[in-house]
Amino acid sequence: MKLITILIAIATLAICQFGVAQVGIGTTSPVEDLHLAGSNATIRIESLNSTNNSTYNDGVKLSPAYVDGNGDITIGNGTGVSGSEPFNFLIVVDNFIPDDPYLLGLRTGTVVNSNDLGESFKEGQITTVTFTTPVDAFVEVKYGVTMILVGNDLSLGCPCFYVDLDQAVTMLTYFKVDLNNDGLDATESTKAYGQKAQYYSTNNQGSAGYPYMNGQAIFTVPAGTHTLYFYGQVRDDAASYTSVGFGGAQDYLKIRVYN
Amino acid sequence: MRVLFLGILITQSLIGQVGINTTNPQQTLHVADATANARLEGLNTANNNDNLGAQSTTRVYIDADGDLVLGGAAEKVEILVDTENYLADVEDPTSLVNQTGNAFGYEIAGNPIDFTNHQFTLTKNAIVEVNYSVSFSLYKTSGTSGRIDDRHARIVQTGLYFRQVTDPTDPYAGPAVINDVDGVPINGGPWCIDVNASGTVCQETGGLLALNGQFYVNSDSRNGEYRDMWNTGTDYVKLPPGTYVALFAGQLAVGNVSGTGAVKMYLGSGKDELQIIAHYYD
Repeated sequence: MKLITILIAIATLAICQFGVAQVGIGTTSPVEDLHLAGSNATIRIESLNSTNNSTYNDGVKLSPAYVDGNGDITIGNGTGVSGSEPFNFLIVVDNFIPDDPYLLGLRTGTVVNSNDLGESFKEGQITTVTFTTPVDAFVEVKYGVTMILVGNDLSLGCPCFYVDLDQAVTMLTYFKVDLNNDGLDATESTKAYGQKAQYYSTNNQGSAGYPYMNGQAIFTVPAGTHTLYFYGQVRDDAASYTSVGFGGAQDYLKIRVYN
Repeated sequence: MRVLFLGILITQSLIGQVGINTTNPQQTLHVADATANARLEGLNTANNNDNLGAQSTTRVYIDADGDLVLGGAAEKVEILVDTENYLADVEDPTSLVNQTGNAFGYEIAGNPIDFTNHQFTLTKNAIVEVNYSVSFSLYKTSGTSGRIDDRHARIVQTGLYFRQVTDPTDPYAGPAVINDVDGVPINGGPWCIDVNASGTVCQETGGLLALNGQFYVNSDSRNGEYRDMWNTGTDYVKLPPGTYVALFAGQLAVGNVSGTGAVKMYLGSGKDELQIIAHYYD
């Protein structure tokens, strides 16, 4: 009986030790609440091994680990069954630029005009797209914007005429990122993402639309709501009239948000 | 012996749960306090090459034993297809896209050179990324004076779509994928991927991805480049488990087809880069 009492006392002492602020294993000077020293040190959680959690741990592939709302380490299938969900999703915005914003019954998209009275460069805002992320994240944007080109103001409708024959004009699309959806500040205004340009030239009977302009970019955002501002540019001879409709046909926008 | 057995029992019972900064542990190991953390030196950047470094966070995985480990990149991202020449380098009916006047519909064109190795299987839902650069040539006839010479702007459009693989030897045997995993038509489709020769009737629909287009103009029947041109596209789509093959559709549009006569475009006549990457989110 005396021996049993001693063993109980030793066991009780051991528990008291676990009440101290920091615990080191393989070190006498822990720098975290729990510090496992040694170049091979890790933790084994048997409830998550392939025997005890065969649903999410097949014993062949590694299973991503997450923490749930209590901070418990867990594994899951990404649908939140175990309270875990990897942050990795895709926002799809089909045809994100209105086809007929001027209500003409024409698929013009948003029109940017460079007139024949001295303008050789013109830029216009095409559209804006707002999205929200619940946590800090990487954001990757891929876009495809359609275009149509004519030689008179497309926003007033047709009849439409060709741009000056056999003269090259160029078009460029890009976007800016308004973090926190509070308007573009000076810094945000200077950063152009996903630039894409191409040239156009034709004679009679050529095609006027709609090729795709594709661009992509990656950036980081804090948790919150953010807005993408899309722009179109037109460059031509100062004495030529070039009217470009951006987004008149089926456009696409993919926003991948992950961390 | 009786005494020793009792001692082990008591120890196991009392140390069944360990608390750090708490006397009331809720898990086998419970690290309490608002700033509580655990440091595993076996996973730090000095000891583990899979640690991405002090400026990054690195995802942690559980192995078969339940050990916390690093290095599971393949479980998150997987390169399914990565080829420098995807479509057969031919200019024949299998790669032909006929010119249409009013830009209605696309035409199927091109055969994968290595269908056996370039079909791929998803075992779970994935965000699939496609990056392609598909070659094309464009002319009236293949003779020395067969180049387009009318100065009419033409638009060369290309898109990528997926088919389910039902026959391991025939990439075209299975149905075209129209919707994503959520049942939403891809890119606002369904798209006409196979229009008839006269450009009036759609024979098959599919979900076109990574649409790209550019203009082409030439004014000399004997001079000017007409081969070695590329369309480049990139896109994302969410797909369910299955075996798939990526295929292409193209469109050649011009304002008026009457002036010049038949113009032919061939997809894949040069080298075509294709990458398909799965980003697993389950």
